[in-house]
Amino acid sequence: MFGRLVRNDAAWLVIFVTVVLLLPVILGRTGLSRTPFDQTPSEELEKLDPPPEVVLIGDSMLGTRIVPDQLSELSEAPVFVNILEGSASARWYLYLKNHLARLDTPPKHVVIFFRDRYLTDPTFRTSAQYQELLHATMQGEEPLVEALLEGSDQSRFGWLAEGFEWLYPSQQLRDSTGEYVVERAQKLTENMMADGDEFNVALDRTFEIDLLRSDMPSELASENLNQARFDASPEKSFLPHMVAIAKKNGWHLTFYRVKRRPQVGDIRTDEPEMKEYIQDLRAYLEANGATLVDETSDETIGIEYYSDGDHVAEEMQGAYTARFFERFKELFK
Amino acid sequence: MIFHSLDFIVFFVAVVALYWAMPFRWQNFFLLAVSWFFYGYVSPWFIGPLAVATLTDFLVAREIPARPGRERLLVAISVAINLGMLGVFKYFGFFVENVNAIFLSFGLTTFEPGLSIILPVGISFYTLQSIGYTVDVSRKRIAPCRSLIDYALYVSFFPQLVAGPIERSTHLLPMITTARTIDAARITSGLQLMLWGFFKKVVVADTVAITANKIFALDEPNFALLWVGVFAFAIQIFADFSAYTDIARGAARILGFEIMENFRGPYLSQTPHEFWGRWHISLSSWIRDYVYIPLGGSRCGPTRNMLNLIGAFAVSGLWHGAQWNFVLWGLYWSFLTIGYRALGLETTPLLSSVRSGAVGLVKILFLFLLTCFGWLLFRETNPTYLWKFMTLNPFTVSHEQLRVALFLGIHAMFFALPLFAYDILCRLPKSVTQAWRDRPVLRRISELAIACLLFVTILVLRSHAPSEFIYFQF
Repeated sequence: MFGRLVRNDAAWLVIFVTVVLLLPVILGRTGLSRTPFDQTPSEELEKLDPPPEVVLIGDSMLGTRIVPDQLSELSEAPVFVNILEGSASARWYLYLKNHLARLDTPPKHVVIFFRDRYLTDPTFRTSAQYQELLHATMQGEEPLVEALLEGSDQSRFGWLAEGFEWLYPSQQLRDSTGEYVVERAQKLTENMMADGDEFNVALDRTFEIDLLRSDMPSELASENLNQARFDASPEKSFLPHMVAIAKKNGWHLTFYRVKRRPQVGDIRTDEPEMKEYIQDLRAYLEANGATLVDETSDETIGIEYYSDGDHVAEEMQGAYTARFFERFKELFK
Repeated sequence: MIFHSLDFIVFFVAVVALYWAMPFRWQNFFLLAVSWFFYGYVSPWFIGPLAVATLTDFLVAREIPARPGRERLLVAISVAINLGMLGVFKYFGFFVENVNAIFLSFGLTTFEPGLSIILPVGISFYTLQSIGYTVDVSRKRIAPCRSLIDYALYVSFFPQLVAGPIERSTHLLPMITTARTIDAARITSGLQLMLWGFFKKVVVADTVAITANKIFALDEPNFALLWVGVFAFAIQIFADFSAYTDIARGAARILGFEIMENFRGPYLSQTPHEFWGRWHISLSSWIRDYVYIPLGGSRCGPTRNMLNLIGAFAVSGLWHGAQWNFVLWGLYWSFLTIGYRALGLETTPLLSSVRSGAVGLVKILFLFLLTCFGWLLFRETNPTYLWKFMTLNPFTVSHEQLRVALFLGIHAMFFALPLFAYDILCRLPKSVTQAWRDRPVLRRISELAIACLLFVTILVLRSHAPSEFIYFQF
């Protein structure tokens, strides 16, 4: 009977389509999931007494510039410095949404350290090796993150996509499989070449922003990021969503554009496209109650401040922290 | 409209359902209408050049039998109009850029073209297909098509319109003019092919593309990292382009058409000649038949033959894009082909003994390395960077850099494995696979299991960074 069915072309077509479409329906219900949400940052924030009034967020640009203890000593207001290594806008957004916004006593000011256009590149630092860190900041389904990372869906059939997601709820399994593949590749690499620094640090160092060429897109962006204009559409970047969270929670949000390594002497000059981008970014932030501070044209931050790339040398971090405090004195009162 | 989009899935399901519900006399008109809809979905103006190419070659080809002795002139008109269009849309900017560079070197004033031209997708593919038709009519290989609808469908058939395969009139036109019958076995097989294509695109190509893009975005990658990037690009371009072909062939098969194969395990080739018989077959065979052989092919002296080869490969390179690196890539392959011939390496040993098998394996690996070098020329459009990459010192790679390169290489290899496994399976001798072929129930059940696995893999391992097909830019 079964053999006859299989041999019959029309019957087999029906069986084929039905099985292929229906079998994976059970997949999303397997219970396999990605790296769970990490509560630690929330717990750390809640433990702080008094609760922080100023919170600084950023990647190594913050980590190599600000000395947290020194800033706390200088400041009258309680300060919390959160260095998220290898992070970018996706994780900053998730940190604001899933940790900071849940505090009983909200901070007054949030300062985010960033470089150039990377604030509006949602995909920066979200590829395979960053997935685990990203997932640890995601609480349950994060449809906005998924949508922004995969590019805005231009389809006229969004309802079908939703139906598809409902039928095959494979996102968690997808994330955990991706993590597994990266983990296996890392294990294999470690087995072959065991010693050295922590792997992710080496990987981050290899693809540091200042090591990228100027005529190419950064990481996953399909268009040339270096030519890109500022775009405040909510479906293009996490920026408007961060601004919206700040508004909703009554924080004052400051985006702090660090000066990248000077090119000639102590000067760092922006290309005309970059100037236009920063102007538009400033106008957008000011119109939405946030602030942009750009230290790019500050010639007093000379080449002596820098170690490798855009990182500030350890011996200059104290001086930098003091400068930063002076600049934002009002904030820390 | 792109294949790996929801829009296409909705479009295709609707087209298939309506198409098979209507009588044959309406099917071609319907397919033409939906093909133009498919093509004009994003930019309706793209249909303009397509209509011009279609109408020109339809009318020119009709005149060929009516004007004996004027065949060459008529073919020249067709070629001039098609290449003229291609020249304006694809090579105008390149031409201006180079003329300006020459002017500058003589201290003369350069000129700015007052218009910026957008390249209609697929123009490089359908102009070749259309030129091929008029040449075939002039060579009396096929009679001129009597119906404009049928001919227009030949040029615009949506599965292969945007990125090929570049079909031959002698192959596709007879299928268009003959009634098709619905065949469940062919539909199943078409679905399998489409699924394999989707897998290659969204799981393999788009994932390894992230690695390739990241590495090629570095200002100074080290030697190990660069070659992992080149390897990732080699996998990406093969997976990406062959995925498009598989989806196109699968879609066409469901509609009752059998369009040509474009790839047959190219990375398992032992010689350049073999590689070009397995890579982008529709283009390489087109260039062979309509450029290389008319130039004299191999039926002339060795010097002339060599020049013919160089010319044919340069045309192939330039066809890919209006950049010098593509010409360089074409020339590179011509030199490889000539070099292999000169050294007597063109003969492929039969894999019948262990020794010849080992030699074959070495030749495969060696050619793969040479192919990867070719991909470096193809991928890097900036000559300054190309030179920088080609002169990287392999002995300055640190332990840490090697670790990172190794990790990225293993990650890319994981995604490349199914492609190599498939190509090796396809090369297995018939005697090995005969038992499987002889058991239809076992065959169908294993095909179903593979299809389920592919679909599941698409769901759980599809890339987080979907991208367009690479060959859309050509």
